[in-house]
Amino acid sequence: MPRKSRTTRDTGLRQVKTTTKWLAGGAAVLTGFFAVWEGRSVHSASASTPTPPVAQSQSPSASSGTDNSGVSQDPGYDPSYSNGNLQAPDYAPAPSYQPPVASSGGS
Amino acid sequence: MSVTVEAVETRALGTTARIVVDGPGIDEATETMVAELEVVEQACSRFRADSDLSRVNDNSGQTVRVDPILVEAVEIALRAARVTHGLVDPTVGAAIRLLGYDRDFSAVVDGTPARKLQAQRIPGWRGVVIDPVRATVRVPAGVELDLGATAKAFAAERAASRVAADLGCGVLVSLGGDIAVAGAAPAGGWPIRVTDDHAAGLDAPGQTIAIQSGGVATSSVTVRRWLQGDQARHHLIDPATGFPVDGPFRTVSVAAASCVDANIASTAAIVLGEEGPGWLRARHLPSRITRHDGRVVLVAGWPTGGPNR
Repeated sequence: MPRKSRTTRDTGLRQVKTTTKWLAGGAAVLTGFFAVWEGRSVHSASASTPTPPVAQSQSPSASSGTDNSGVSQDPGYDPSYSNGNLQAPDYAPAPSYQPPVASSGGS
Repeated sequence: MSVTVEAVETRALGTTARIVVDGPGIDEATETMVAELEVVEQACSRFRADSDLSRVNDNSGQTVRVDPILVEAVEIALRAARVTHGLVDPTVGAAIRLLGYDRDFSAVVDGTPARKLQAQRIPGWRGVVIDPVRATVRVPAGVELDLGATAKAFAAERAASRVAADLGCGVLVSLGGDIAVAGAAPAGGWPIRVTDDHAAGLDAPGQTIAIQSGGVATSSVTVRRWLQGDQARHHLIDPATGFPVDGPFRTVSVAAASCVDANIASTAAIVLGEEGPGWLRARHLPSRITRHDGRVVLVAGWPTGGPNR
């Protein structure tokens, strides 16, 4: 192979090697960037939707105020309070239209 | 809904007991419940001279060996005092006796003689010592325990769990309106009427709700009332004064992961008064609070629907 052709080939190979190195480095940086960005997004979503203390599917209404029967709904959970050791139910009570089988009252 | 309503009512711990089974076996269930309640009453009754609790109160200042059931019941009462910072305290025994409630309530309702009393903080639960290994209880000299606040709920839970384990089905036990459920709930949950007086019937004014597990308990100053001379008394004692609670609420119902926790919370809320709703809310305990004028406040996810009058 003539000397000029060999030089041209070597120069081309070096350019390919350099380009490959930059592409690999850039890919790694971009991968890291997207990983961090995604992690922050997931964390934010979790923090803004805390797990409710009782199953909300059993709670018919989350509204506040007084309805027309004179029954008022206390506002929801205030996270500034401490939790204590009494355990909330797995599911909040639900309204029932079945005939009651027992009565909870003072005794 | 497949609830087999086989209601059996009996007397235990000075009140009525009711059992409901979601399936066959009501006779066996009733036998088991009655036996379980008898065990608790024999250990925890303040009005049986031969109960373990009476021996502890009669021998205050001394360490008394007792049935392990009483140790467990006192442990629960002490936990109630701890988690409520003394709002629900078992050392109200002497205070409630001085107010005239010194025998089974059926004998108190006609009234007791007048007595001059001064407000005085009760002795406090911190002086009570239990040893679960040796099965002993010791109260300071002059201190008397009354487990009325938590023993019914404890007994209801024990009975419900035992029957559910024996029969392998869903069970509800109500002891004086303190309701414990165990096993699988029927479709739609256990329908329960929440009202001022558990003995007023299933159609008494109130609200019908359904629970899946745990328990519901109600504390009310409208029941277990008597006259001491010309003074109206009731059984819910304010530990700060030794007198019956004089607050804004007549009835508080609470749902919790257990009947005992529901009972502790409902009693504490009555004692706390205006701070009660916030206290319950902070603990995520669904609650229904009725003021003396009939206005109702619902807390922490207690439902607004259901027959409610």
